[in-house]
Amino acid sequence: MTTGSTTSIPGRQVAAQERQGLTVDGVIPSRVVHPQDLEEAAGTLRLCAQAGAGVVVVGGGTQLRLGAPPRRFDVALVTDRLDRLLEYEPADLTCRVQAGMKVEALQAELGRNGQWLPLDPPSPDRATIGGMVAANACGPARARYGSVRDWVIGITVAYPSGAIARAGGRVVKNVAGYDLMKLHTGALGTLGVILEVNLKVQARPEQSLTLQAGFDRAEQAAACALALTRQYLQPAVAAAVDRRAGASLGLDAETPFTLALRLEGYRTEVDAAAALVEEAVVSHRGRMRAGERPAELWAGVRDWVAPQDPEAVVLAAWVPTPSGRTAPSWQSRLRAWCRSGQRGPRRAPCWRGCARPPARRGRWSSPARRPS
Amino acid sequence: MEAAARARLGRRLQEAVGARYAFVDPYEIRLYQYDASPETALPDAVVIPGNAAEVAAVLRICADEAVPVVARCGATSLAGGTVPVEGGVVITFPRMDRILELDLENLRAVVEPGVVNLSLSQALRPLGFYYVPDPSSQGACTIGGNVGTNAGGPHTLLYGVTVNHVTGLEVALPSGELVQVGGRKAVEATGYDLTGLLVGSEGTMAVVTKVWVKLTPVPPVSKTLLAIFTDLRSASNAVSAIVKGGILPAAIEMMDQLSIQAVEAASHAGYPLDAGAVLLLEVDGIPESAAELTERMGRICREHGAREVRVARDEAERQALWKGRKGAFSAMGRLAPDFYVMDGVVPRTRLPEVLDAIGAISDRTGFKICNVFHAGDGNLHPLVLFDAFKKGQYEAVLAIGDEILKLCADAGGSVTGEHGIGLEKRENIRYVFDEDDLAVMETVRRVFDPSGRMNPGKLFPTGRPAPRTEPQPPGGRRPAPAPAQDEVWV
Repeated sequence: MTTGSTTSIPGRQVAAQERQGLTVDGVIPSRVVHPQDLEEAAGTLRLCAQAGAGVVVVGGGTQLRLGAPPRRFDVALVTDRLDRLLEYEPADLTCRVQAGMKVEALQAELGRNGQWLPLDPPSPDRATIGGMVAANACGPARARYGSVRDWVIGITVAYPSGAIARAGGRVVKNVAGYDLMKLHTGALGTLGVILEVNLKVQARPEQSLTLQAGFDRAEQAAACALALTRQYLQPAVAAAVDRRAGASLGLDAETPFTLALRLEGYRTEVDAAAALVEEAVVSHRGRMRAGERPAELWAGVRDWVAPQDPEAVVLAAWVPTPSGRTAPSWQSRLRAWCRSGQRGPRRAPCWRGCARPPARRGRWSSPARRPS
Repeated sequence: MEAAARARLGRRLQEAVGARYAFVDPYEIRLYQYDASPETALPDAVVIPGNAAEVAAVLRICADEAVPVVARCGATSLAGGTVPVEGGVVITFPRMDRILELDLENLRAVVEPGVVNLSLSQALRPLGFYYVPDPSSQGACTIGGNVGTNAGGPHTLLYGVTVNHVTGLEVALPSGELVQVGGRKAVEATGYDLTGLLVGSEGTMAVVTKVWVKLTPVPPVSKTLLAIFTDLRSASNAVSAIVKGGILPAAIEMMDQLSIQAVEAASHAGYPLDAGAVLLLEVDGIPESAAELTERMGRICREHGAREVRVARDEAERQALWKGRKGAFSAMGRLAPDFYVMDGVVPRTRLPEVLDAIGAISDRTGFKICNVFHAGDGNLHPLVLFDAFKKGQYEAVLAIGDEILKLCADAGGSVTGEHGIGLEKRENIRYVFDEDDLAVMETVRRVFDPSGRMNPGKLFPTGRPAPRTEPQPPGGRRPAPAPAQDEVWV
């Protein structure tokens, strides 16, 4: 796995106990570096480039399986020591954070001022801001609030040459220079290592309300959700789940399908949206369901990676165009799936617009975009 | 370019797009030497392709002849973005102005680059949708040009700028190859977000031939409020308080005293002449939420010293409140023959001190500076008033512009919020980016355009000042073309 002389490769040997956390698609690095500042991270990259060593940057380790298996993986560059909130001015609605800061930690800081970053990547307790950007990790609230690219206003990146370069800035409106934030978003660390990210933030919605409706058929639930997402007062999240998935999310399901909706906004808007939901549910032959929502419902939907119950299905209707296909073709696939009676988890559409992998490790994106 | 080479280029272009749509005649190409900025430069040839394949063919010819390529649509750039400063071929898009596809189910439209921004929204309105980014020149500028500069507008505060509303592009590369990046789906699938990179690249990488845009449902109501303050500082503080208090207005516009006086003289919008600042606030929503938010914003304004708050009760009153703002740039003609507009951005909380510093520059230099701007996102548009025929004034004004941009950059802001770097600010970009930053951008550019022929002389510092165009006698008067329409505003 290692070529050249290991002595010139930076970092220390990977210890046995950390091996599992650093393994990417079965490939284990020989060395690991935990840089404490920008210069150390950039210096590591320069030394690796000189030694011809392959580097994979590791944040919270929640999305390491994205992309093709690494062709070379000698050094793991772990951002866990770069975890500070560098600047935050609530009245400007902007902040500057180091890449290794956990998403949840940032949300907690913002929450003190009644603000948030309206992105909900899976496993926010482990996922880092840098990793979220590099993996373009979004959650189900994306249809309403946009994805990572809509919230990153500036970026600091270390490149293989050892250069540290910035793009964008700290203001919410800025067209100076190329928008390299977009280029690094979802690039999986293949172009450089994200070290700092400048973000827009927002005031938390005044009110948040979860509604549930029961449906007999999947198409009804999906059509209802799609109709709602095209409205001006679109729900923040809409998730249709079958009975088994509902059970694992703690939903008390008496109907084959449940549509769970999260409405957010100003109080008056949420009230009006709730009325619209009831109308839409009735017109799609569903029934509003009273009762408490399970506490972990939305976290469960957000983190729905590999269902514990392989038969369970979560249909995410929060994206107008799952799979990039038009809604009708999605619906016809859904109908075919309903008729076929097959409930393999591979069929479950997810919010990334593609099937979430089954419990065994799989890949849901194809391109080979690992650094070599 | 030599006459023979130019003639050959013209012939080849004519073969590609038809004799009528390519020309090198010195008289005919004169129209294409300028945009809305003060500088001018003549192209060698102008071509008006009718479709993407013709654009690609033109680019192949340009590659073959090794000549620069400048894409130009409405030519409303205030930064000289479409001035062919190194000559070459100007490609312009009046023939490629079709809306190719409307997909209301998925909230997408596919348009050609020459579609005028406003006409897209006008086409969509009856269907209950619109295209959100609304640059001030939206009656003339095109979607292709908006993509080039990542154009903004007053309503970007809540909804974002062009890049947030474009999900895919078809572009012709400098080699003449047509490629598609992104597409109908939301830009988050797999692969690099090249759409996001190309938007705002000011034509330095590729030429856009097709654009996938997001459609947005028209809000049920928009409610507008005008707050009158005795000074700029309290108005700025009110803006911060509103935004921090959890209200996200669709637009927050501000005007200072000098602007108010000019506007009032021109449009009689009813602004008190002794007011230090007016704020124009707009919220979108359902009637209930809009009414409540207007109420809350009015209260915050009063708490921060607003002496009067007016709320538009109907659409006619709303238009009346906006009238002064929309006519602001045209109204400047009452104060001076020329103005020079800048496009700095500062963090919202730094607005008061930056506005004070701009006031100090005005006092020191004796040039009047008006401030009419997008206060919600800290995007300043200082207008320096001058007379281009008075010797030395234009140079002095450029120096003032430079000083103001430095001020914005030092306050943690940027040298351009929506107009682009273009020709005008290619040296000022150094105020926000260092050598390493620019080197990475240059590397990225070379991936697309290895020979550096795409809109050369723009965006990147050259170490040379922008070529100057001397003010000419009336008839060919430059710089600062006075806005022709009543409603030109930035």
